[in-house]
Amino acid sequence: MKGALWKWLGAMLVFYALIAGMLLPVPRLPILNETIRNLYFHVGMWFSMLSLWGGSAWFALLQLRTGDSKSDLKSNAAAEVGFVFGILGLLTGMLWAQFTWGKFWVNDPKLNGTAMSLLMYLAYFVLRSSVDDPNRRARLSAVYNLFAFVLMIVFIQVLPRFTDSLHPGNGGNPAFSQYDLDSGMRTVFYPAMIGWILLGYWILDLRARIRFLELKTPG
Amino acid sequence: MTKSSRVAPIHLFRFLIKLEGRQRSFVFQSLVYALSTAYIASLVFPNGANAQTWNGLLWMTLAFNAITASTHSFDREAGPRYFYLLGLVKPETLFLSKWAVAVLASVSLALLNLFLFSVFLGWPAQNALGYTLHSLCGAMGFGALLTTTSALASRTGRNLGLMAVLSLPLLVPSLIVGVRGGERFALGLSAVEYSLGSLGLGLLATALGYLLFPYLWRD
Repeated sequence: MKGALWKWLGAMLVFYALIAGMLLPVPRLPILNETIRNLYFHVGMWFSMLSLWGGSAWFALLQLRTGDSKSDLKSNAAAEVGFVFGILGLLTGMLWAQFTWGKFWVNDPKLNGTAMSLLMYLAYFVLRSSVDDPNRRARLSAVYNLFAFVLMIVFIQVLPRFTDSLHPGNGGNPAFSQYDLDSGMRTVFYPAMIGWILLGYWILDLRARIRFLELKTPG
Repeated sequence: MTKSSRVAPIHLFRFLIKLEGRQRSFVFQSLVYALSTAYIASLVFPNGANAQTWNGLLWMTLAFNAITASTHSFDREAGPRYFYLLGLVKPETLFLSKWAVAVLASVSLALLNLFLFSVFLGWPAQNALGYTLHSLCGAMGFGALLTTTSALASRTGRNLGLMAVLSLPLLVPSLIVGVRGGERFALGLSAVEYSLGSLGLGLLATALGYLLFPYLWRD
């Protein structure tokens, strides 16, 4: 119960985001209209995805430093859960794009960054499945994980500065601008982001524990 | 330790270059690959291509040629020579000399590609010197990045398919910066910041590879 406090917090924040995100008033803007509520969900997927992949890289680093097989297991699980959040972020984003920009897929630096990072983790899974020896698999995939993660972070932080983007706060600055967000929306947005991240880590925790039990169970 | 530190990267580099000279099949393979891709490109566009298409085609060719050329760069180290080198040189030394060979190969392949493209498809780039130097910066970045992925792929023991799968997602940033900069140079504009971006990505990949390579190399 005591250790599960963050899980309760995460669940409550996600429920708060679902209810308040649908019911609380939002600014009425042309084109965006009510789709602006997608901000609480679409952006939350990315926050969760990036923090999970950050965790995956962290466990990969631990694996290389200590050679501990549990870190490898957690690193892999975090990459998988992050990948699922990435797909969800892509789907929510595509729906949003269809209703605001008129197309499901546009050529935008953020979308390129997403496509690249999803491909990267697919390559990571391919790499894992093609090495049989568990120790070598752990080490090789940890190296690829760190290599790819650092390149991805640089790519999604640096490249949008070169080109214009349809996303808000872009064309010079890939981050949020402080004037973009209405103050009423902030009261939902920030708790929602924390909620999604905690939910992501909860799923990671469960997945890593299942994997660990599978590893310990013979046959 | 005393034995390992006696071999400097430059000696190993000379040794590796000498090996390439003795056993020419990989060099020959890269030459034929470059020649056939340039010729196929000229068949695809019989009436010549406009600057943008030409530039895009050239960068695709550069990327795939670099992948093909570096696919086998760690093949010779897979057999008995692996143990020989493991005892003789530090992993960092091996990485630096392999890196130098890969960058040299990638840059000379890029020069060859530029020449072949100008023969078969014409030369629409206006700022010729800028364009050439920019391509060489991009090729350097490719070579630097592919050293690590090639080492990874060879350590899995299932090299052929895995090399492209692991490399392509990671090449995306360098490729995008390279193509966008190339477009500007081709139109006669200056785009030194793109060339610097390519170099920066190459340096980052080098630094990461240098730090991670020892974990790859030792079993």
